[in-house]
Amino acid sequence: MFLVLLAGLQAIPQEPYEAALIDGSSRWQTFRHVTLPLLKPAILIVLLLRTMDLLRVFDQIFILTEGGPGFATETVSLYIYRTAFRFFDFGYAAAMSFVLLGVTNVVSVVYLRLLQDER
Amino acid sequence: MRGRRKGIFQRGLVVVAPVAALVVALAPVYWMITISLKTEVDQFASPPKWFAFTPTLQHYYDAFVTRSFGQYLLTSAIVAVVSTACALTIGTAAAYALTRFRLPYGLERRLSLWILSTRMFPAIVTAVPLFLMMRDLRLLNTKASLIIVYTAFNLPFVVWMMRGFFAEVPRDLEEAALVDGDSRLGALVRVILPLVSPGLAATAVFCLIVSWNEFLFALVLTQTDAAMTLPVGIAGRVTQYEIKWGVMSAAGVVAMMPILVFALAMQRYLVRGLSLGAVKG
Repeated sequence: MFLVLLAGLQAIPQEPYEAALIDGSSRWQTFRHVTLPLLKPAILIVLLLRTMDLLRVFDQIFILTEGGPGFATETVSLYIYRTAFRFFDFGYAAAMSFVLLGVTNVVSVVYLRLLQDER
Repeated sequence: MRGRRKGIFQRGLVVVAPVAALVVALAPVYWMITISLKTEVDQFASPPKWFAFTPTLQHYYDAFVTRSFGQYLLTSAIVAVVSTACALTIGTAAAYALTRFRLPYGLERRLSLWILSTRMFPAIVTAVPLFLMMRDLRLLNTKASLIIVYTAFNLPFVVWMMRGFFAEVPRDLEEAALVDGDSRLGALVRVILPLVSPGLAATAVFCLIVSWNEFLFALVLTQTDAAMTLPVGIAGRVTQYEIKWGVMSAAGVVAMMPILVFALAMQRYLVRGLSLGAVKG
């Protein structure tokens, strides 16, 4: 994430900053009105990628808490895993997988739209 | 005077923020390394022993000599290398075709997006069908199952990375080779591939890292010592009766090493590779 934002920052040209400096804007104003708007596409993409990461997070939760205590830290991925490989209800797990696929698909479509607008 | 003090303050902030981020990111790694070197008594000392403890290599001995972590390591290495090689071969060819040939209705563009979209859905979605397929193929608990799955998993990434690199190579170069009587494949292997070799190397390292770290599929598809990869082996040390922190940390440190070496060697390309396709800059 840091790397994507860094790349985004590096892609911002110098001129807007010079213009802002000449217009007498403070550092904070420059950051708020020049850097952030220009970084918006990168931030959007990072947000979307992280959202999709959250839909798929599994390793860390599985190792740290296995969804416990109780179901307090259970995510969709973990629930599907448990249904399929602990309770061996493959049909139910497959159905949930399919729904999850649909949800991520919606997010991906938005993401791909954004990517294409970039080009 | 005032301006100067502000300068120092700001410069301080510039140093402090990244250092704070680094500490947060690296603290668990430091803790893992120290735990792997501590005796079990020191591991649970309160207050924790941050720096002063007597180091021991006992946990490394336990992990790789007494227990079968050596075997997990070998499995991980074989699976990572073979699947990366497969993904690179197929993915490079696919990417070349996507950049150099026009399909009707702009299909090559649509195909690329479809290939990319397979990267986006959560891994768990494919875990159930893959498990059932591997079971029916009698490939559960084999390295082959992991190699197949990781190859499939890495393919979209390879295609997208290499597509970007191929697009940067001017067509004139291979046309020159073609005019000189080389075949398409010959032009690809002798002219284009050497030009994109840095990109190829970066992609390979990325695939290696992904396969090396992969946890979910390895957990689902392998249960026996003979086919288990390192991450699953490490996680398996959390049992009902005890948690072998020392052994887990020792194995974790060893598992981290190749990634660290690769990442350092490839730093420049990794940054470039990550930003590629995300933000055009």
